[in-house]
Amino acid sequence: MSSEVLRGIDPLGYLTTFFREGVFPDGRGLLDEQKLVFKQGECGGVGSSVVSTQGVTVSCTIEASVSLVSDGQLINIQIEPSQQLSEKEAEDFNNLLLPLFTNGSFILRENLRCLDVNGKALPLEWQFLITVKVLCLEGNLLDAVVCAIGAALADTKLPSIVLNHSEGDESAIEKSQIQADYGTIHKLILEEPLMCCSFGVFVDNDSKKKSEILLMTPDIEATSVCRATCSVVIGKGDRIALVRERGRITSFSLLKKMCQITAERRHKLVEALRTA
Amino acid sequence: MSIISEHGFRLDGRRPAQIRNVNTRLGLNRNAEGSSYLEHGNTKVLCAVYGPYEGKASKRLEDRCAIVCQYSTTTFSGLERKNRPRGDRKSTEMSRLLEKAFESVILTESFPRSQIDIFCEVIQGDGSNLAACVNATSLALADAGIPMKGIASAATCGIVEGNPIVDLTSREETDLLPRVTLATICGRDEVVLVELHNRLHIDHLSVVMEAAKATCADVYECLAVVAQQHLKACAPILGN
Repeated sequence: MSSEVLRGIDPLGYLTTFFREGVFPDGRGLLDEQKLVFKQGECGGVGSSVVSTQGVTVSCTIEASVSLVSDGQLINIQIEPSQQLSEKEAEDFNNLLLPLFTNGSFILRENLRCLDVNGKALPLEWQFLITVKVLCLEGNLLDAVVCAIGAALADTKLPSIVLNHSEGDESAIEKSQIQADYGTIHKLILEEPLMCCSFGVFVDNDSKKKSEILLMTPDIEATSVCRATCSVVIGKGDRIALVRERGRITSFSLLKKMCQITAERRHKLVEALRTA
Repeated sequence: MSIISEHGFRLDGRRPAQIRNVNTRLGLNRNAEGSSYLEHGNTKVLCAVYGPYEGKASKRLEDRCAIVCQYSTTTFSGLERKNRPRGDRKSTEMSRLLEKAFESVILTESFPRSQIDIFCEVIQGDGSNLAACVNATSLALADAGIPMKGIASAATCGIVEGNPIVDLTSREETDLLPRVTLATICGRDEVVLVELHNRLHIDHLSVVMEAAKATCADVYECLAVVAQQHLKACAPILGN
């Protein structure tokens, strides 16, 4: 019987054989990282990126508008549903990602103030609409989306604002008094990049110990046989920004290990960006 | 505002590792297969479970039952009056979290092509709402007699200057305090839900998890006693 037939008939048995040997079917180690490719500024808007990693390709576009200073929400995320991503799942991801902005993991609110030509803060703020389109979904979406948003924000270039409204004037600012000056461009001041890693927890029922095997960034096939999946997002100062757990994990040490692996990977990324 | 006083007490007079009083009642809703009312201090939750029944074709799964959860809060549950009790972003997120958690708790393979509906309503919210909903749902499922891997218990744990505090109230759930809601099965090391609010330093993870795990075990003890008492009370009705 060829391996492809076995893969179709008994995917669990097929994958278990590989996981016992400590590798994925493609030869990658169970805790080996996968290649991440990104390109900035290709999808319009004030900033954009295309990211491809672990069989997932997403594009991210940021559109900016100006509003008066308020307590309202400045960033809105819209992950567009596609053939591979249902509307319900897209809404789940939107809800999941929004706290990363409200708790200042990507960017601090004060860094969204509009600036004039001399870099002076005006009583206006930038509002962003971040649109994420899923081009290919053969793995975990969250890893790619977090990276794509980070890359698009790093690519964002905002014009200076000319405000024809004197400081002492107590009347409301009119739309016609606000003008964009594309001669001077400001870049966003971002927090250190976030790193998101997804893991699968596979239980080998045939072994005597029924031990839990940790899989890093499993593909869809491997995820389908995992008892639990977990995504961890770590930001500046090794602070955990998000934990998303699905399924049943029977060891607390696994959770800690996932966080440590993600933190190490983030350190590598920060070092790579520094030296680049 | 200091969350822990210099004498080691919290705003409501509790010690950092002390949970609030837990009061429960089972079988309140006669129309539902199972129901429960649970109080964690001033957090009050009502839960009803319907099913398993042959659900909508669109939600039907061939190999297991579908869990559909609806989380809602009364408009007067918090300090701010809400315009609508459900359907907002937060309620939707909570519903999904409960759904995913109980998919791992209920023996869903026992009821293929069927559906179980869980309705949780926070009547009064005073912190740890998600944990209270998990605990109330566990009791309602037990009341409905739905087979589970065990009773799930949940607790919210935060960290203040390196020291964990458990079962947070709404005054303690500030924008800066990192807090984790953890749910385990039977108080053991079987995690079915982890939810993090605000940023938590990786070095504090073990401390928070240990405190949350211990609290889940404590809460489980309470829930197990309630379930056993309810079973004893039902024994004459069942003819045992």
